[in-house]
Amino acid sequence: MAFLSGGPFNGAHAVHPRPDRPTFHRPCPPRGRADAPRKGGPFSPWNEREGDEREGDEDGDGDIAMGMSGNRILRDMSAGVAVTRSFGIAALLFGLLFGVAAAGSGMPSGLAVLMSATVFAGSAQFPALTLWADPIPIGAIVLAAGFATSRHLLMGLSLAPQFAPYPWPVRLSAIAVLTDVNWVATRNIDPDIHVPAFLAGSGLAMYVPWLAGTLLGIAIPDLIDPVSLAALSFGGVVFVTVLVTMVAKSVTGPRSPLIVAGLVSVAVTPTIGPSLGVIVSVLAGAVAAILARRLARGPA
Amino acid sequence: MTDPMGIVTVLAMAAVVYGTRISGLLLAPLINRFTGVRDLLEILPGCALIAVLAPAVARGTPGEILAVLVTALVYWVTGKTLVSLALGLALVLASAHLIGG
Repeated sequence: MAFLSGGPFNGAHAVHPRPDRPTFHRPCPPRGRADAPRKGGPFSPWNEREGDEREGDEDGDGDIAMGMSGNRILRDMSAGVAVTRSFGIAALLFGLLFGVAAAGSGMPSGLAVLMSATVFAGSAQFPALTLWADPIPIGAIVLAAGFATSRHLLMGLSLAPQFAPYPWPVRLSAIAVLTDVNWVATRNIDPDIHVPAFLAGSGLAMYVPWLAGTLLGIAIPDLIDPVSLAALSFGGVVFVTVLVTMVAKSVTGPRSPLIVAGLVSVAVTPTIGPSLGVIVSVLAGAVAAILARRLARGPA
Repeated sequence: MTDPMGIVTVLAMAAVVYGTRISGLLLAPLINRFTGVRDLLEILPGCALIAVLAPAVARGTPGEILAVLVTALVYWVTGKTLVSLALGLALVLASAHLIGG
């Protein structure tokens, strides 16, 4: 896949990560050096799996997917579950918050469950509750959902090189459970791991608690006292804080684009709203990244 | 009985959100032509995440802002997801109950 060639920000660099950066993967030895030592990152599911040899895609022709046995796919799916299960607890909590909020908003409980089961995106679902009315403003709700989850586009683009060796039905199925957490978890894994299986496992570790939390919140809306409920609505921010810190720790290029995007979002979001605010901030971050790269290169 | 329009709305939301999820994979071959753009892809999703985070933190109460700072610091130092999340959520709850925000 041509995507994997060159560039300081390229995903191919993730194969040999900086040892001081957190990773979700088993850093693999360079191809052809099976005797090289392994140093699993702090979240690596492979740390205790010495002797777990896999055949890599030596010639880059995408035969990884073809050569993967069912056991290996299941094992890589389990690895996805393992690295994400900490966030699953948070997903249960936020699903519960969504269920309680849905019950309070007057949305029929069946629709709230259907929404959690099929949309599976808190950033789209919570705004939908605030827009829900009779008659239902379908256009506004659907448009808001698209804007709120537009960052999936960038995440999909960044994961595309890792998905390239796999058949399209596999790619399009696994990506259905893409979330912020899964993107962070999957972006740096080794190319010899079955990436769609890992992402699917990681997604299921979020999906199941999210759905269970929704059901719980609808069934027992008084489970949490009102003060705690109001406080936990900020829990999503704590959740994203961990994700952003993970990204900031693991990024191999300059971090200035993150700072610029954050500052711009604080400045513009109160005026133009969160959805457009994200788009403008990402553009500002892109400009900052380009400038940082040019500065790093020095004068021509 | 559930309003059919409600079901249509939810399913339309699901279709649009799924569309955003697959859009990156579908558009990658086109984006691949632009070397400068593809090199940005490591950092831009992170920019989107921080663009969601920063305004919410800016609107937070002192207790909530403290919780965010402690969460980030603990994760940065320890790299432990669950500890960071639990501590952050505990601080948010504690500040709400003890000082009202």
